[in-house]
Amino acid sequence: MAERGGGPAAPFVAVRGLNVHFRRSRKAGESVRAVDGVDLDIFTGETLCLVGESGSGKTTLVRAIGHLAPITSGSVRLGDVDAAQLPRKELRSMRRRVQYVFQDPFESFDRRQSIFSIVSQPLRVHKLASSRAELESKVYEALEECGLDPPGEFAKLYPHQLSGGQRQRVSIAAAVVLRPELLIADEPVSMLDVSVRSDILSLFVRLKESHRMTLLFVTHDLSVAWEIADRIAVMYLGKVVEEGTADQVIGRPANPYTHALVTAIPVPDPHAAAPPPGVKGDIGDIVGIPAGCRFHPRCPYALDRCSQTAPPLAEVGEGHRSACIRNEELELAPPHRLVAGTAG
Amino acid sequence: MALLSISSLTVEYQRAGRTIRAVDDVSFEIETGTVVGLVGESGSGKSTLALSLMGLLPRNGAVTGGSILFDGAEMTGLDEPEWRTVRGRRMGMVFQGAMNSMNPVRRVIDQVAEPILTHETDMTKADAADRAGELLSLVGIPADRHPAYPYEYSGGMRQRAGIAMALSGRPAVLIADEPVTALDVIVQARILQLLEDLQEALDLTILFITHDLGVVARLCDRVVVLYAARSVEEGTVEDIYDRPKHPYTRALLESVPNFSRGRGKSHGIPGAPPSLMDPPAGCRFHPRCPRAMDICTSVSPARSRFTATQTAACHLYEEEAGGDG
Ligand SMILES: Nc1ncnc2c1ncn2[C@@H]1O[C@H](COP(=O)(O)OP(=O)(O)OP(=O)(O)O)[C@@H](O)[C@H]1O
Ligand SMILES: Nc1ncnc2c1ncn2[C@@H]1O[C@H](COP(=O)(O)OP(=O)(O)OP(=O)(O)O)[C@@H](O)[C@H]1O
Ligand code: SF4
Ligand SMILES: [Mg+2]
Ligand SMILES: [Mg+2]
Repeated sequence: MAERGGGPAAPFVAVRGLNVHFRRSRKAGESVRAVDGVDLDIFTGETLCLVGESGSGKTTLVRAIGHLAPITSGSVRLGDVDAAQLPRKELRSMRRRVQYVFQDPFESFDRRQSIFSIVSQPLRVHKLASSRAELESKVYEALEECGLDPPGEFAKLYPHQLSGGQRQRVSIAAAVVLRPELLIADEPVSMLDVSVRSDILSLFVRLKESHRMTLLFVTHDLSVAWEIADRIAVMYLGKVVEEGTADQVIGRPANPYTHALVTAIPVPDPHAAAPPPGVKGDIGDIVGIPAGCRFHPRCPYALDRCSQTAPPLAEVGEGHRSACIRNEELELAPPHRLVAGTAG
Repeated sequence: MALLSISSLTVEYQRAGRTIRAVDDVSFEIETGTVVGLVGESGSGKSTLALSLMGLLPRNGAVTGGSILFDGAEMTGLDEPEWRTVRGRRMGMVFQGAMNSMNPVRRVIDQVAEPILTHETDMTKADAADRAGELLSLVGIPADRHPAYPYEYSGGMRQRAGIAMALSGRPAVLIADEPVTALDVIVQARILQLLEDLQEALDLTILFITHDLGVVARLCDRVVVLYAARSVEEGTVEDIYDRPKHPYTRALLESVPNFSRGRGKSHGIPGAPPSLMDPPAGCRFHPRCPRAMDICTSVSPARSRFTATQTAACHLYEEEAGGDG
């Protein structure tokens, strides 16, 4: 964020009018609109956290951004290229600029592969080391900067000999060894023990800074997002409904859905007030996508017109956008008293 | 008087010729009408402790020491028919992962009615169905959804149905093992509210198991902190969050993001929780403890009492036991 200064920087990732729809059954016309008309900018060097309930489309969106999933319509530009327009050969080198870390450190490895072989594989695939010595030095460097020290010892081990947190460090090493420009992490700490989570979070922030990467981080846990995000985008049923800095989205949410989400976070403080009962139903009760604002059947502030017009994502403050028909008139109480401070 | 009194409870599993002590000399009490939170990381023995309270340990597991007094009566050593009179009727349990463990081909209302029929043999099927319907409504599931199949329910609704089932025998104690862990926060908040409301309306006593310190702060009166099968600290929620004593409790609280502390202020505990196949000697936390001393590597710390409500097992406090407020 700080690097962005005053002027409008060009985003590294520019998502425009993106749709990713899946066919649920052979019956014509029935499709799941997993990502439905998303516009999103991610600026070079920032950490953008994508949050939302299960099924809101987070994974589908980030897969589309990394061109791992087919796009139904719309565009995703990375830097100055639109991958949809690229010839196959260049697509491959573009893929190297984007790397992933997934949720489950236990399932993402072949148990018979050593740590060395796991972390060196991407280098071998992209032919990025000309000698064994160069391969080794790159792998060791990646292991070391991911906290697997001494790297020579860790390189010889196998996944089952590591703890969950260490395995996740291995998958981060295998992603950063390629020096990607964009690192996409999809729920990378949700399977880990609470006592090891925050060190993995700060590892992401540290690596992002030392390698000047852009970090797109998916989490369903807003307190995780608050801990590391420069900006947060909130998804609901395939749409981004609010976007802003971490302090804006969590400290002063403008959208009733975000407000409900933030209010519901249980905080580790017995003196915190219990959240007021607000939103009804759950995302899974919604069959199909409601007309108008998709949140209206559950929204405590819904008016008749909310079921008719779909609100666009509109500016509510500097760099702060919300998709709500009542943007102008609603004054939502700040859900938590935040202590200001910077991530990292 | 305590409704449930657990003292020096030890539970062991046999696996591949080895003994795993999954609950090691744990003691605490639960007063009638209160909510006690049992927190600990994965593998610390939370579910094992819960299953032993219900007489539901798997075949390779057994209570090998200590006692469980429920309403003054000893529970360890009961035989299966005796357990059946306790289970459901006096203690109900919401199982970890309950939302995925319902029978997929039976209607939800029938599954809730089933334990009612087994507990209350004089009940007719129709009466049991009525009561199951009442329970489902009590947990907030509208009547028109009662006859549905589990796959037609969202995760939150299945979890509510699991709570209804646990309440079907009108138990005095509800044991809830990670009942909100897999749920989205909005649904989670509503289930917690539901448990709070039920607790008041039915004067329930609840043992709430979780690894989420936020949930504990929200719901519980007292907290027991487990680390590698042992209870390391116990106190009221205020004791634990405002003046934690044990280095593990302190480190655990510092490891979770906290809005009232500032961003980027949380830091993890080095290393990982130990395997119970081969736990560290002395204090089990010593390999990760920032304040470990020589004695910690070989001698198990005794429990120190700080106040009428707070105790911890750590060598740092053994000298001053009884002092410090
Ligand atoms: N390959 C697919 N075919 C059909 N539907 C899909 C497919 N992938 C995702 N979906 C559907 O798209 C919607 C969004 O799914 P997605 O996995 O992107 O959500 P998410 O926000 O990542 O959820 P979670 O937090 O559970 O990971 C869901 O309704 C899901 O069932
Ligand atoms: N049936 C079993 N046979 C052998 N060992 C078992 C069995 N069930 C659990 N264990 C072991 O007992 C220990 C405690 O497990 P338990 O399931 O009670 O932990 P937990 O605190 O509930 O963990 P989680 O948070 O992951 O649910 C673990 O080391 C586990 O591997
Ligand atoms: S007994 Fe020692 S190692 Fe254990 S928590 Fe206390 S100081 Fe740390
Ligand atoms: Mg996902
Ligand atoms: Mg468990």
